[in-house]
Amino acid sequence: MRSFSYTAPRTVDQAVEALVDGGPGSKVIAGGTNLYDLMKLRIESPQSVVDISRIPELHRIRTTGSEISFGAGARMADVADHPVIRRDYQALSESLWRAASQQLRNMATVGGNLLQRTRCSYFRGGRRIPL
Amino acid sequence: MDNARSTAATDVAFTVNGRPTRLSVDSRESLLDVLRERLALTGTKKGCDHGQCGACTVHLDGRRVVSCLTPVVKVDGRSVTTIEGVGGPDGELDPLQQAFIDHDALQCGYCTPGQVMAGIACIREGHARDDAEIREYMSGNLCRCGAYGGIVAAIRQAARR
Repeated sequence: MRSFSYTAPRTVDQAVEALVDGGPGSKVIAGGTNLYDLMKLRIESPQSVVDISRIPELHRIRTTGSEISFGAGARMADVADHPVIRRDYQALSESLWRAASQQLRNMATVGGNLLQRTRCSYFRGGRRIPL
Repeated sequence: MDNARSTAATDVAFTVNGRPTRLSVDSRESLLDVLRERLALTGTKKGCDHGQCGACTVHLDGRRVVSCLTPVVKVDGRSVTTIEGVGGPDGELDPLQQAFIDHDALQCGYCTPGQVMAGIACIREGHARDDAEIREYMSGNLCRCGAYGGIVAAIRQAARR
């Protein structure tokens, strides 16, 4: 894995600033289950990593009347196990608890889940396979 | 760590099994490697190192996570529990550890620390109400000896307590 600098901002403004400072070589990390794994495989080699998991407002899950909203930083397990989501949004809850494992769902966020890089190495491998 | 930008070497402070720990780490290091190589807590095992086998499961602030996909810099200020921290002060076993013995829930034992850490969390989360739920919520822990029947029975027993 390539060396990188690490920042853990506490607000969205600080995070944006850190990403601007880091330039194109910077990446956002939240749960880490995708990015850190790809860094181990040297598929991703960011110079700067900005950890948004310590920004409280991104984690919030709100349910009011017929509306539900949750931050991109809400963890998969928290959304899946939220009592209102379990009761009134069963398809959403089930689609989360059937994915990955509880360990990964405790780490991975719903935002990061949507932003995952294709896991299949054949699709993401930039190099042509010599025939 | 707070808002400071850190380069490769950085200081982290966290508690491991209740003991405050302060270390200078490389930002690339995983929690798993730090536990095993720096803190000599070798109960936590390295299986796949990619979050797929569960052998490295620990509790972070009380929740089960895979330590191989946890960069140690993310643990700053937080609390880690490993298999070495689940028993009593005089070596008493956790009820789930005893249940693993009672049900012969292992063969080679390599996956067992991860199974126990995941199982303790599974019970605590309330996801051990029946065998099907135990199987679903323990799906992140592989056992190549195939001791799954015993593992489910052990968790069922410990969950009843």
